Amino acid sequence: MNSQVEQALADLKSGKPEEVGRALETLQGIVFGFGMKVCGTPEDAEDTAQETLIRLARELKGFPNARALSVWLYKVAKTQCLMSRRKSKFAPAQMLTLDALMPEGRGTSAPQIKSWEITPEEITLEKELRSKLEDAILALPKHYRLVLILRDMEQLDTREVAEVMGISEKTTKMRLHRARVFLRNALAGYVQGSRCSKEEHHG
Amino acid sequence: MADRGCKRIFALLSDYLDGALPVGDRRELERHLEGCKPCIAFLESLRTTVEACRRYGQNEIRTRPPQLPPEMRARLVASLRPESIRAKVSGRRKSGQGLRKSKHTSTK
Repeated sequence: MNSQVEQALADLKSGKPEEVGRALETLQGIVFGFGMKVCGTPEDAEDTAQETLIRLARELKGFPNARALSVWLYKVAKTQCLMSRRKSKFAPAQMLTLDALMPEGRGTSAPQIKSWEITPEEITLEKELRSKLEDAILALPKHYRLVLILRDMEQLDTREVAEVMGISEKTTKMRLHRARVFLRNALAGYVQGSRCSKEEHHG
Repeated sequence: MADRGCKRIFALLSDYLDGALPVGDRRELERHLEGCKPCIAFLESLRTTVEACRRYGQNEIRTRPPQLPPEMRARLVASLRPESIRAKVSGRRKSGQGLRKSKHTSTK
């Protein structure tokens, strides 16, 4: 991601129309991809990308480096996403608590989970699992969803995410962990459920 | 295996995966993991989830957005050139004025 933004910034600074056009397409692609993950619809992602680029053209002040441009882009895109027409698609604002997220968790019992046998190498993100992941992300309350997408998908570091979100690094880490556990639980049900069904079929 | 220990470890797992735990906490967590299979299994499942998110993120970045309408693209390119930016910074008329978002071009 950083290398893409670095290249885009270099292209913008070159002043050549072809290179500025290429930078525009790179930045549009980044913001559109972010919008797709956050908003879940191409229409909202397109709105987000266009509004962000227009703001970039209106407000562009020399960005000292790719990091500054990246944080600015995500800040604006995040705001646009939150204002999107289909914002009702966002899960209702709520707090995710670790007690509620712990497997079999009532706060006092140890995690009781079946072993998760699938390894990163085994997961190919086939269509069905990918769809499940997308659904789980969209089911996350928005402030958790944004942190997870920025950190684990857009690959910003904790400090950058905190800056984009306007929150402390401590809060960023807390939200990230809860969002990850929420997704893990959503996918665990899917993987285990699929396996149970299979075993029943074969049994 | 102490329940309270599991609960404390549970809160530290993401920082552990990110290599962001202070040394003392990391050692405590690793000692706990040596004797706690459920926590090991949970850690691995969390690692798998994070890896899946990263792969999904990388795939999605490759999704091509719809092309910008030509007129809008031309205005943006003109506005984003360094001389336009310098003009804006020095307080001249904003070149971005007049830019309006287009109607959707998505076909989906």
